[in-house]
Amino acid sequence: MKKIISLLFLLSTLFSFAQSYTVLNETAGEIMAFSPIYEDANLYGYVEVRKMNVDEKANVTFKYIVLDKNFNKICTGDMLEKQSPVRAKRNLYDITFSNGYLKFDFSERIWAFGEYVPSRGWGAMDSFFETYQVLDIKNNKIIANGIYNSKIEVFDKKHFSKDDFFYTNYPLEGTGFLVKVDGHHGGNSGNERNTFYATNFKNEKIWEYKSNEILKKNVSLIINVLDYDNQNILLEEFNGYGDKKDIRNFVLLDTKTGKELFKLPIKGTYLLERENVYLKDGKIYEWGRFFEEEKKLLYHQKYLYATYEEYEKKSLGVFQRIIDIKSAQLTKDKYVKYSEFPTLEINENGKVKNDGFLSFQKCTSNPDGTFMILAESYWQKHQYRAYNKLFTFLLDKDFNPIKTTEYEVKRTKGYKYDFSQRLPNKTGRAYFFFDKTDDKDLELNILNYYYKSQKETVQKMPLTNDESSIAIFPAKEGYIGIAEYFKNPEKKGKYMEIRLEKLNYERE
Amino acid sequence: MRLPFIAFVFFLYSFSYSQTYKPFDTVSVENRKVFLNEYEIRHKQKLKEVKKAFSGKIREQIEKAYISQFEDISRATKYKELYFDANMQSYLQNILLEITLSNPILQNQNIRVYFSRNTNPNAFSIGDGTVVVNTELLRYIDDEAELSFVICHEIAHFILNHRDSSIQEYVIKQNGDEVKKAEKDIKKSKFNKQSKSEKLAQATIYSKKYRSRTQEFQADSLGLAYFKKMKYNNIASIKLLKNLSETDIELDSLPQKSYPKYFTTKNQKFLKEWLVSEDYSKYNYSKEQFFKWNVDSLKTHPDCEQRIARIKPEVTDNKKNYSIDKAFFDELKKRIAFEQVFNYYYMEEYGQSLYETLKLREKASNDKFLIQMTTLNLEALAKAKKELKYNNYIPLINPKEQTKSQQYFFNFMSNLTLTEIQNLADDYKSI
Repeated sequence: MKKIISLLFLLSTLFSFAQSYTVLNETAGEIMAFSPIYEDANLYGYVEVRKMNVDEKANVTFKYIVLDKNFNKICTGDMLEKQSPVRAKRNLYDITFSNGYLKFDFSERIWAFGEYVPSRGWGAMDSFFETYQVLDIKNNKIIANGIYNSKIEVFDKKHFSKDDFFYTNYPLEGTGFLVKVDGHHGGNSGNERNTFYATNFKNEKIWEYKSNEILKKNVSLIINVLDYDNQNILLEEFNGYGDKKDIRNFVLLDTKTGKELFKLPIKGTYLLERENVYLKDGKIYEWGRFFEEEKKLLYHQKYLYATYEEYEKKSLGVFQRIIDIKSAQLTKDKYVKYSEFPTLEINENGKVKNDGFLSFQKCTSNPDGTFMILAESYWQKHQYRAYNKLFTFLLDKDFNPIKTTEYEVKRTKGYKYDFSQRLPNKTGRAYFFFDKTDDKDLELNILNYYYKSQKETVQKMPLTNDESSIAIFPAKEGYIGIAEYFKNPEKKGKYMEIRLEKLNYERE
Repeated sequence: MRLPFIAFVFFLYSFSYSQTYKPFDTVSVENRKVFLNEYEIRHKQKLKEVKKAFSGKIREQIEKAYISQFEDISRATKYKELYFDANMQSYLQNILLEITLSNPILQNQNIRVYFSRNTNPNAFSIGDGTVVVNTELLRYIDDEAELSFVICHEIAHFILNHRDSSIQEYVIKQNGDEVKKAEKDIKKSKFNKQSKSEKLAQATIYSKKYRSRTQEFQADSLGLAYFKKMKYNNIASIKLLKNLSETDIELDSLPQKSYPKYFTTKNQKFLKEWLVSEDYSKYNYSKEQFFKWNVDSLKTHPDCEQRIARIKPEVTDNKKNYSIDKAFFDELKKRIAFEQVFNYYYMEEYGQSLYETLKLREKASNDKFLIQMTTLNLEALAKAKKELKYNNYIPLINPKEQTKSQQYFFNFMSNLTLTEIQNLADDYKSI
């Protein structure tokens, strides 16, 4: 059964051709977001938010619809927000899901001359008067709402100047939400503006965390959230500019208490370019590429190099670092040179013979402890990269390459890899990438990697044909979402359809 | 793309030496051509009338509505949805003759009646004198008298000119000053744009649906008037409406214990992995409408109870037991379950067709026709799975709208891999 989730479409089935399109559009409201929501890396469902009515008292009504993983409606309701009297538009800017609760964040931006304009000048924060509402999905009830910045009482010009912060939310499984407080750039930053606090689902504060780094005047500290789960929150703190002192630490917090479990300075032998870092099974995994050592730098800064060629020439291989959380020790610091990739003609800087430099897209850890890295080779052109080959590298538990597979693909502007997700029944992983056919039409390729047999197979699906064009999107585990748009709606009797297709796989 | 019908019929006739069900034939190229030609003539005549009676934007929009309907019906006819089987046509013609003889006022109205393969339990009047009864409806009605009342009801829609009045009144209203003023006001508004639009949309839709429900009452009333002049027991009108109220209830189910029987073949053993079902227990589904509109106001048809209440004072149980051709109707009823299995397949609803096939196999497990339908549906599903179009035929689980039996079947089918479906199809083919 196909789902047509556009509410515009739903209404249009009730209206006839004669109804004004303006009325149709207005009735359906303005779409703010249609987002998948994940629960612990699994798809819970989807949420759609629309901006409905704005009345003369600046009350703004937003409507939410929560859908299950099959697009069946779970619940719907309204959220009322207040808009400031300045020339502003209050909009949704973020949605965070945690344990059956949705947190909606709203803010305003100045709207003038038919577009958004900066509110404070170049480089300054544009959004202001940030608010939140928390929905309990099970009971379909808003259980908390308010203004983030406690100094803001009313949305007016007087309070506008006090609104110095912006807020980012992260889900904390089993606990509630993690809120990061940031300040706008410029001026005296220090670390006051790098505050984290956790709330429960009713938005009551549970704990607060601030870095204890002592900074000089005009030095800014940047703290990024790298990963989080129901036990730990992994942060990285480093100094932005203004001080020659090199601060770069992994900071691990306890999710439930906010207690700093350790602060581990990050040191290394080489210059690193991180691809990803994540928490798993009591460890911190970090991987990426490593380059020739640069004094005073640990992580790569591409802007130091005039051309990509110069920058790539310093590349030496891939690295993996593992930190044991319990002992707060670096237990693995592995560097794999390009020459160690089997059956691959590649030079010491990662240039594959006839195919160009390698660009690493994804590294996934498999249940048996091995790793799969997906990479593409490219040639740097004047204004774009021409990607011409796809590779997978299988590495053992110690991150030693054991198998290389090459895939013949067409040359494309831009990389091919899009996303990956688990196969049905956790039998493996599917990697989605786009390629072209001989006729230069777009084609979806699904590369299945099977955990048990370590076999790789590719299924192709044309994305354009005589009758339709297709777009794909991530769906529940083992499935892919397909939106098909018909070129001749009169013949088909419909404009588009959405379906969820289970990925084709072999049962092992 | 539709399976070549001739190939399928040939496939079936090659088994004709055995007792196996043969679907009604719709090959009738000539009859279909004649129908389409005549339909086009009537359609063009209607457009001429519209051109004479209206002008400007209103004429344009009315024409568009008629053209859209014409294209839909023509497409359905070209795809052989309408039956032109001689026996079925003869039967319907006899009922129609009985209606017109009993109601002389209808004699020169150029009415025609057809059965259709469409799998919705419904009947409709095109508006030009053509009445279509979907054979799926036959599953829910008990006798010829109810079928005749259905036809009388649809004829009443035609006589009362409901199609034309619906289209024309709606277009005229939408282009009227009141609506235009409201739309202008909405466009100019700085505030409350959405709520004003919703109010206007609601008023428009409620009005349209109200008109539709009113028309249903009118068709019931006039249809009953025609029906009462016939020799049937007119209590059948109430019985029909009661039966219609149950068309969304699944008539039977497929027992879980039967699955191993149907899905174990020579090269494919039954796997316990097929029985794993998705968990929906964490979802708490609300019944609220998106726009919080009145559900009753959105109905095109009144509740059957209301319809019964309206006609009941006019209905008497005259204890008659008349029918024109009881044997043919009974034969139709007997065949309909098998016919619908084929119709679902023909209409490319392969998942539903397979489901209905397996339910029938509970009573006739080794029936050759049903085994053939199992094969064909599995082949079609395997092809769809390969092309990532499986969801077109095997719907996703919807705990709110599907019965437990349906959910079990759809869940089961979604657990089969491409290789497994192909194995099953190949093994069934070799039976």
